[in-house]
Amino acid sequence: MTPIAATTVAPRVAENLNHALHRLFDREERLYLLGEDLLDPYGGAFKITKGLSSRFGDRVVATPLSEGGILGVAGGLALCGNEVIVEVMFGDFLALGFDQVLNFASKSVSMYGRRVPIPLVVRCPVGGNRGYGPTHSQSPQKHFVGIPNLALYELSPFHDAEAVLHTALQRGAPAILFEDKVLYTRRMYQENRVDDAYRYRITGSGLGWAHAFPDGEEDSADFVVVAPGGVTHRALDAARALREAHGRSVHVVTPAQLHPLDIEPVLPLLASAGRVAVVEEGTAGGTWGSEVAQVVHERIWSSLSGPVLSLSSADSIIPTAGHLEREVLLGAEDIRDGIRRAAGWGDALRETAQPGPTQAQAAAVETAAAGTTTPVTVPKLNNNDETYLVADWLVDEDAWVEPDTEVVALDTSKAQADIAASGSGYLRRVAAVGDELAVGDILGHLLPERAPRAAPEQDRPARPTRSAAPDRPVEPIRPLTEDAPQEDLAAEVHRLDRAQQGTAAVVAKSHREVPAGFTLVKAQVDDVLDRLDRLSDEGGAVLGLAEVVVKAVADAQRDFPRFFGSLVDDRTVALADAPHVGVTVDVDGSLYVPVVTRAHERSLAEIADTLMDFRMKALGKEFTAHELTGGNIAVSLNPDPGVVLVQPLVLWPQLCMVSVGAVGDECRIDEAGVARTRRFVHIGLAYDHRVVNGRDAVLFLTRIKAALEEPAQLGGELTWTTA
Amino acid sequence: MSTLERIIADVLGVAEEEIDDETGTATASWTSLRHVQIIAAVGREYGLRITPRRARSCRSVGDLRKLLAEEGRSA
Repeated sequence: MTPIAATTVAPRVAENLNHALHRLFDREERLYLLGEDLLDPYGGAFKITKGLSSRFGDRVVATPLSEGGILGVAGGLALCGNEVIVEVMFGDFLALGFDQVLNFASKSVSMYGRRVPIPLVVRCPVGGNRGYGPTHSQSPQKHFVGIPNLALYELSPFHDAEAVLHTALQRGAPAILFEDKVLYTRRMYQENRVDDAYRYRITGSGLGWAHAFPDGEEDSADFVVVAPGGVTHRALDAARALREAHGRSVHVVTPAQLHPLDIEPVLPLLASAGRVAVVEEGTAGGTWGSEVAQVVHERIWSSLSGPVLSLSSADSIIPTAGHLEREVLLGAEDIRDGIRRAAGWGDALRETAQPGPTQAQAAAVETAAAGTTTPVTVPKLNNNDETYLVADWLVDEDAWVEPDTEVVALDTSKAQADIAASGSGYLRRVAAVGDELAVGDILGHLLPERAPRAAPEQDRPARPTRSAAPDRPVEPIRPLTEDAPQEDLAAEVHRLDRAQQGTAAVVAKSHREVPAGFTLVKAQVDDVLDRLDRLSDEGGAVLGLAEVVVKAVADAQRDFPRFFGSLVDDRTVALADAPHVGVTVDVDGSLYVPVVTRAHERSLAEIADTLMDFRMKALGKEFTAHELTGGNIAVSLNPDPGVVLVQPLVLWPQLCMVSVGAVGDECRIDEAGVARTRRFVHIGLAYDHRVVNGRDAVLFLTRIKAALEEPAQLGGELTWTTA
Repeated sequence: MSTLERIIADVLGVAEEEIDDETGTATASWTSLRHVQIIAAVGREYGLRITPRRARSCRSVGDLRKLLAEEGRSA
C-alpha cells in the first residue's frame, strides 16, 4: 500500500497524508472534502490539502468558519451516499462540532431502523509544543472515547495515511483522525526500521499495531510503552535513554486505531514484559490511557508485575510560553522518569547518567547543603492507631526530593496515606517496608549531599541483594535475622513471583490484623461420594466434593450472616448481600483464590464448571481481576492424599476461611460387631475471634458437616441436577 | 503408542503401556489436579479450546479419544 521505493528518503508525515488524500480522490468519485481555508494556493493551515482544490475543485469545498455547520453538512452528504472527509483546522474547534458528531453523525448509523452507512472522517490537527496557547494546542481524544459507532484513529509515523483513511471510510460509520501537529514535519518510518538501533514491525490484522523494539530483541521486552502516534517519538526517546542508562529493553507499541481498541495483537508482548506504561499528550483525568489500563488489567492481571503506569500531560490548561508549556505537556523525560520510578531502575541511572538536580533545583541544593539534614518523621494520621505500617517507599534511596514530594506510604488501620517531605535533599531511608512505627519516629532523612555509595548503612542492618542479575536494581530483601553473616546472605536467593508476593501480602496482613481461632470437625462422606459418583455417571461429567463444600458454605450464609461479613470498625460488621465464595486453586505453584459469585444460586454442576474453569485459567495464568476479587468467605481445598489438618489464615478483610482435607479411610465396628471401612474428611474453620466465637464456629461447621453427611438436605431441587 | 497416550503417560508419570481407554478418574494417579493438566496438555497439543463442561465430561482416555474424533483430530 505504501508507495515508497526502498531507496528513497522517507516522505514527511504531512506529505504522506497529502498524497493519501490525492490518491483517495483519484479513486473515489463520490468523495468530498470540507473545511476552512482549504483552497489553493493556501492549501489549508498545515498544507495537508495542498493541490486538492486545483485537481478536484467541485468536490473540495471551502466553508464558512462554523464547525457545527461544516459537520452538519458533512453528515448530510454522508447520509445521502457520499464519502466525506472534513478538516477541522484545530482539534480544539471540534468542540463546536461536538453536537453534530455525538447527536447526528454517530447516531444516524443506527437510529433509522436499519444500519445506514455514514462514511465520514473528521481530520483534526491536535497537540501542543508549538506555543499556540490554550485553545490551539489541546489533545481532545479523551472527550470522544466511548461514543457508539464513532471510531477514533491517530496519525502515526508507522501507519500509511492512505490505509488509515481508506479503512476509516470503509467502516461506514463516523470516525475522527487525530493528527498531532508535531508529526507533520517528521519523516515516516519505512522498511521496518526506526533508526540504527530500533526496528519495528506491524502486528495484528487490518491497520494493526506498530511494535518498535531494539534490534534483535523483538521477543524480550522489560517494559512496554503503549503510545499513540503523536507521542511515538517521545516514547522512543525515553526507550533509548532507558536502554542507554540501564541496558533495558523498552519497547513501544502504537495502535492506528485508538477506539474501539483491539488490544489482542499486543497482549502476548505486554504479558511477557509484565510491565506496561500508557502515555498520551491529553491532560490528566478521564484519559484514553486509563481506558487502556483498565483493559490491560482485566485481561492480563496475573501476568503483570506492577500496575499499568498511566502518564499524561498535567491537569492544566496549556500555556503559550514555551517554558511553561513544556512543564505541562508530556515529554520524553516524563516517560523516562515515570518508567524508571515504576520499574525501580533509579540506582543504575545514578551510576551511569544521572546528571544530578536540574538547574531549577540548583538553588534548593545549595540551601540544603548550607543547612542540615531534614528528618522525615511519622505524622499523626488519625485518632485510632498508635502505630502505622510502612507500606511502600515512593522515592528511590538517594534520589533528590523537593519539598511536598510524597516520599513514603504508610498503612493505617483504615487507609493508606502518602507522607510528603517537609524540605528538600537526597533521601536516605531509615525505615523499611513492613516496619511498624509510632508518631514521631524517623522514616528517613533528607541529606544535603548524596550519601557515598560504598558507605555502610548504619541505620539499618546490611541486606542481601538479588545476585541473579547484577545489572538489575538493588532491591532490599529483609534478612531472616539481623545479625546473619554477610556471606550467608549473599548465597543464592529465590525471588518470589508476583502471585506469591500477592499471597505474602495478604497472609502477612491477615497474620497481623486477624486474631484468629480455629475449630475442626470430622464428617463422614460415604453417602455424598456415592451420590456424586452416581450423578457424575448420569451427567457424564465429573462432580467432586469441592463443589458440595462450596455449595454448603454458600447455603449457610442465610443463617450465619456474620461469617460472610467484614469489619467496618471495632464494633460494626458489614454484612454481605450474597455469598461469594473464594476457592483456593494451586495447580502450577501459584496460589489463586478466585471467587464463585452467588454460589447459593448455582447447581453443583454449575459450580463444578466454574471450578474447572478456574483451574484451567490458573494453569495458563489467565485470571482477570474481577475473578479474583469480591469474595466474602473462602474455602481452602487440599485433596492431596494424606492431608489430615489444614489451618488456613483468614483472608483479611474476610472473617472466615473453611478448609477441607483429603478423603481418608478409617475402620469402625458397626452395631453388629462387624469391622467396616468408611470415608471421612476433616472440615476446619479459621475465624476472626473478634466477630465469631468458638460456639458459633462449631454450629457453622456442624451445618457443613450435615450437608456432607445428609446430602439430600443440601440446597434446593436444582442443586443435584446435572445441568 | 499414540500422542494422546504419551501425553497422559507424561502427566500421570507412568509408562505408556499402562494407559488404555479405561484409564481415567477412577485411576488412583488421575487426581483432580492431573485431570486439569491432562486437559490443558491435550488442548495445547491438538489446538483445541476445551470448555470447562467438556473438560469435566472427559473422565477417561476413551472420552478424550472421542472428543478428539468429534473435533476432527486424529488421536
